[in-house]
Amino acid sequence: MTDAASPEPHLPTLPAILARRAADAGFDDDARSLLWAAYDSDEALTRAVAGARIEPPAAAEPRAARPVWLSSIAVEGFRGIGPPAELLISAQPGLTLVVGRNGSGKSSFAEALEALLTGDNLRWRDRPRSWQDGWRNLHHDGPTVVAAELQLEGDTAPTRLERRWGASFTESTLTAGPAGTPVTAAELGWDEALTNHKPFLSYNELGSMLEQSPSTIYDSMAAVLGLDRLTEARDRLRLVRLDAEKPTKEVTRARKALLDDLTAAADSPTIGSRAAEARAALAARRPDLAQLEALAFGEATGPTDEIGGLVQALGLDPIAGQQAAAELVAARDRRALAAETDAARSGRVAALLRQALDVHQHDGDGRCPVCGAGTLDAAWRARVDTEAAALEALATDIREADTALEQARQRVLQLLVSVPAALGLDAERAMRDADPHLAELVAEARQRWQELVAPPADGWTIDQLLARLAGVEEVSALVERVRVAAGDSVASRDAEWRPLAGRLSGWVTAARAAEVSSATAARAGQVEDFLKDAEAAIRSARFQPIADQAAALWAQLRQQSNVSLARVALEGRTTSRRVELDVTVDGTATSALGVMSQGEIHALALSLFLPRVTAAESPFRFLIIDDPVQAMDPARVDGLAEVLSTIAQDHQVIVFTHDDRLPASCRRLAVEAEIVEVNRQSGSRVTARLTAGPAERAIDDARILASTQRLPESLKQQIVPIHCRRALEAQARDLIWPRLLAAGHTPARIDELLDEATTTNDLLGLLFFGRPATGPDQVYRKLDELSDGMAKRLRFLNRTVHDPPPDLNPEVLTGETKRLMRLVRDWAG
Amino acid sequence: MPTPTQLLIAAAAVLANDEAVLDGRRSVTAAALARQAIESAVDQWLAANGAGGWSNRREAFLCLAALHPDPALARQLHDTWARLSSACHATSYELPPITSELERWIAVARRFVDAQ
Repeated sequence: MTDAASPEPHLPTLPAILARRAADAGFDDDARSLLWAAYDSDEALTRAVAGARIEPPAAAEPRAARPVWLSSIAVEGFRGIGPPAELLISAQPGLTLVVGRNGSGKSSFAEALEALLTGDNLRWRDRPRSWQDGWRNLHHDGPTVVAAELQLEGDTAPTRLERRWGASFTESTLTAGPAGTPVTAAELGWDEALTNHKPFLSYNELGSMLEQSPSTIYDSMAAVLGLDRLTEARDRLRLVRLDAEKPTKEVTRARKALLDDLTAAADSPTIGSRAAEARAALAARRPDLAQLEALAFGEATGPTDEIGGLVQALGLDPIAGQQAAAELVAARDRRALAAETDAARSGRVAALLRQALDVHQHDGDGRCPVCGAGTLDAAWRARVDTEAAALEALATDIREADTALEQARQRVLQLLVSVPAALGLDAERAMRDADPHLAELVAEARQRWQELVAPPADGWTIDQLLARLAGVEEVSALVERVRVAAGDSVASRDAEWRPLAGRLSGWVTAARAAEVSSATAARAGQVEDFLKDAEAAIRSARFQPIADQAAALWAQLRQQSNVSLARVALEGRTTSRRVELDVTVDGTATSALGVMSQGEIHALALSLFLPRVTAAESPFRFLIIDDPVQAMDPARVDGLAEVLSTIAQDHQVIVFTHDDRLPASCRRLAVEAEIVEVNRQSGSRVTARLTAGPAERAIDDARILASTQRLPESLKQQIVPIHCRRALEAQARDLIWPRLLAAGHTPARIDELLDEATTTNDLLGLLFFGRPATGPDQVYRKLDELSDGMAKRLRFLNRTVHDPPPDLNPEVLTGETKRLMRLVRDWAG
Repeated sequence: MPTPTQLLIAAAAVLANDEAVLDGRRSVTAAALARQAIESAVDQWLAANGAGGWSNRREAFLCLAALHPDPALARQLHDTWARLSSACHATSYELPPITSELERWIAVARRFVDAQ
């Protein structure tokens, strides 16, 4: 990894970037609060929506997890491993190849380390049931324990992490150190790194990485950019916004339904005008909620008004009419009585008598000055005084009867009020549609009323008045019928209106709530857009180095592939997000996956995986790849060996592989690699041991088995020749590759030739002549040419493999084989 | 020269042998012994049935399949021998067989040997 290809190590923290951008965007306090709440948690966002102020996170530097190296994995009772087995790895940069047949238990080491660090990870839950049942080794009665020694940079001693499992795979405890202190990945500072920079990749994942949905690939690529929190914040806001948009949508929907129903009701003769008025108010671009509320529950207007007017008392009081009639009759009778006397003469006589009394008062007794015959004395005075008083009373009586009669007349006239407007023609016309029966009644009542109060042609005589008064009761009864009918009419109208009124007022309540929540939705949407832009900007800045690195890795891995990767980009948003892989085949642009072989797809997946794992932010200095070689052709295996050795310059690259192709490739390319061979015996006893190349390995096997005291001689005679022959063959194989490559053969062709070479002589022939030998003798001749007697040694070796002589000395045979190997090596230079 | 039965017993013993000196060498060693057992058992059977003297292994196995009363077993034996052979050579990228494979192959050889 070159420095230029790695993301810059000290990125500004996300809150710092967001704070700056929020200031640039001119966020108000509410929007800012919403932003930090969404960044924080669901709970904070709930509070912010409720009006709480959420502050930006304390500007603490995110805890930088220290770089960590792996020095051993110890496994017991897990998957294919029964009794304790340990894989040692030197805690320094370098390539380690862990080689073992499928079923040897090698993958169990890889899985064990992942299980140790991730515990009950989602990845495990997705495994098939058979896996879930088989996580515990069947041959092992002891506990299931995985431990690893990890060297944290800056520590003098490694840290031992251990995970012990209980009854089920989901029950496990992670502990650290000799004291076994419980610890979590989060406490180790690895929580996010285990997702974003997950240092494990299995063959299955390599194959499926690009088969996932575009958005899943996108997410796993984007995760490394550390923008998860932005995406989470955006998701939170989105949910809040959708939630806050619901009332508005509901109100809009309800408004439409209500408008339809009001439109239908506007045709109604009874509540039509009220409905039409409500409809007009509701249809306004911004309905006046107060007006709508008044329309729902306030006084009705329109024809309802006229009818409502009829419900009031109309001023024609039959009781008052009867009373007035009685009073008028009384006043008339009293006047008639008074009229029988001569009130005027009484008044005049009374005045004369008072004058005479006055004269007597002044002059005393004497003759009557008027007649001259009578005498004015005390007796006369007493008599006349009484008479005058009686005459005066009579005159007053008549005046009063006149006044009373006039007053009674006036009262009657007051009673006979003119027809009220409520019974008028206009009112009748207004209600004719709404309630024709009522209108008819009104017309009749009006007519009768008018007849009742119309001034007679000969003026208001007492008799006339009395006659009219007699009709008051009838008209009044008629008006009462109108009133009752109007009451019924109003009642039925209210019953018809009430449901609409209820809905109208319910809608007003909902609309008021929606106004509040739509303000929230708008603000959430604003912050959401803001985050979207921020994410896009940060992403393109941070992703570019990774994309460049992936393209560079692919260039190295693709070898002879005619597919070249022009560009890797994160594109699209939300559901259309995807990783764009622009590839060209022999210079023609095409879609990536369709044209690629399985091996190419694996290589591409690896190109995308490696930059994530080796990103500078990752604390993990080790990465574990399980069987990347399957489905790769020989040339691509060489590319892989080169790529891995490059990464191994500053990382621990641990590759598990099920055959010898990758080790062979490393040997060919002189890539330095430690090779650990994993073997599994009966009872799931697994051993892992460091080995040399196969040639040194095999001759070593022969030497050790030949010299051991622990095996019987007859057994040694059987098996040492086998190992000797394998050593010579392996030596030849290692030398054939570079020679045939130099001779212009393709790796695929070399593999074919090697496949066809099934015997020791075939291999030596291929090495010596660059093609299959014509027969064994050609090989023997060549050997003798090189060094006399060598053919004899090979013949002997070939024979002893099948039929060891009873006097065979295995140690001597091993020495002879070494000489043959050296000869071949020297010949090849 | 050990008998085929002795060789098969030795092969099984190697697989079960916990000696550290055999770690990493166990499967090739057991494979060599089992292959040796098959080769001499086949040679013995062919000789006893008047068809001995083959110099080419493949031809010998074709002959065996033609003559043996259980041709399916003969073919299976041929296949097992080829796999054991491959394990004894350094001729491919294949890694040495695992214990369970060897146990299966040894059992095939046992069936052939025991049937004689």
